[in-house]
Amino acid sequence: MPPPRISKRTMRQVLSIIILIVSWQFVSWLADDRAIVPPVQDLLAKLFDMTASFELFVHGLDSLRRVLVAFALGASGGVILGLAAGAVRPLWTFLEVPLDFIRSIPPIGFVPLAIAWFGIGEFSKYLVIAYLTVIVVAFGTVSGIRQVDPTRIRAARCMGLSGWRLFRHVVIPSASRGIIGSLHLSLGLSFISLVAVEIVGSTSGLGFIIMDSRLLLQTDRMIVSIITIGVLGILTVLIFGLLLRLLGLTRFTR
Amino acid sequence: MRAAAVRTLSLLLLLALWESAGRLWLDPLQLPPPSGVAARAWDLSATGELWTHIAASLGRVIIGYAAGSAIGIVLGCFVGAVPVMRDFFSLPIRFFRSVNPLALVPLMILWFGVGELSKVILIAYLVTIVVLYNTALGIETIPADRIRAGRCFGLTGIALFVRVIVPAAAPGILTGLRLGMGFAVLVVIGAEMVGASEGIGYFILLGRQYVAIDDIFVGLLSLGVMGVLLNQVFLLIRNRLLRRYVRTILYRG
Repeated sequence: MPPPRISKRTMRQVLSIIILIVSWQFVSWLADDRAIVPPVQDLLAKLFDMTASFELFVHGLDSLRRVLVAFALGASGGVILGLAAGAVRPLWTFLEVPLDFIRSIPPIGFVPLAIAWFGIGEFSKYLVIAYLTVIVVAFGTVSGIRQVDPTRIRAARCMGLSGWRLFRHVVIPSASRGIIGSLHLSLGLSFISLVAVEIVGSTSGLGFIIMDSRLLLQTDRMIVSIITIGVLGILTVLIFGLLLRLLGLTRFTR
Repeated sequence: MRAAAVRTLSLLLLLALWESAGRLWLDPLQLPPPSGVAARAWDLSATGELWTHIAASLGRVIIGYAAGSAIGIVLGCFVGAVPVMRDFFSLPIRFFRSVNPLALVPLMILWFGVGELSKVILIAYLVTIVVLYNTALGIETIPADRIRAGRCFGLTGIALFVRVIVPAAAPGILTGLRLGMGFAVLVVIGAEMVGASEGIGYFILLGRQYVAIDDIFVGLLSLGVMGVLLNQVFLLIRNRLLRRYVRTILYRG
């Protein structure tokens, strides 16, 4: 059996990771303070500690729950709003300008308002994470509906479809590309809002750990949490994409 | 024209609804009516307080953004044009892109203090990553035929780069610049909430501490106006300067 050939590309990629790690070690050595720029072995040890003490799980689960609940609420609200607005034009004319304005405000700005109105409980957190999803998904749905090929609608009409059945069997499947694209986008954005909520006013979650580590000057704990939240985000978006494919929802998007 | 009229009307209707909600049903301290917010904004801008905060935030964004986009475009051209660099940068860029921008706020403050430096560095870093990625992507995905056509017309080296490659990559670069601006504003507000003594983020957080909801609204509205204006600038650039190059329909996001 011949040895497996490793392409130059893969070798360069592996080398790039090694260079990245070595330069981190170098910076850490240069900074000469393990507490401020912890070397990789300290980070791995901290990762082990935080896993063994379940800190990462407990707070990671809190963060994940917030994103998932808020995303589920926001996405359903956004799809419903978008479909309604796509079907009834005047509704969208009414909503487009204010929603576009709200969308241009960074989500972290709304955290103090949500806390002032609804307290620091979970409800205000869900609200801040979910509102952007509603808007992004509504915009995606409406633009999906607008981009439906008119020939398709004419063809369906020729075959006798009209009203709700036309909407259900032709318009919604044709718009699913716009809807699913906006769902992916807003799931990614939800993680940004999540951290916004957790660093400004929260007593649990990975964002809280990051803020807490800053006060305690535990850089290793902070970096492990930052990486964990990134990994959590990538995995969630990946699993969401797989789920959509398994459920057959992507069959119209090609 | 009719659509514009309907939109203006809808906006007026919304304002009227908000005004009556703030006055009739809800506590105006909880939901300040638009007239109250406008009066407060007028006061704050007359004393110059609002402008101080806006200037502080904008200053940080502009410095960090200028540095980040310059570095990002140069590095992105380099990475996109040289295949070896592409292999070297692909995984690190993917890693840095997946790091949550707001999660870095406390780390930057820990490393570079609560002053201006940490904010500017964070903005510059984020803008660099986004612009670098999109520039490289824009250059990578140029159809080979275009470059061949350019060569056939006798262009080589820098002339080929300036006349063919940069225009073809312009939409990608612009996407990166636009996304980068979004990140810059987001993260400056975050940094100002976590540690600052001026800036819109600080002002909004202060509004919460004093339970001055009208102040929070003024802060949010100025952010919204800033966002809309910046967006208009990008649209203007796209439509005026890059019309020839932008073929794909960009999602208004």
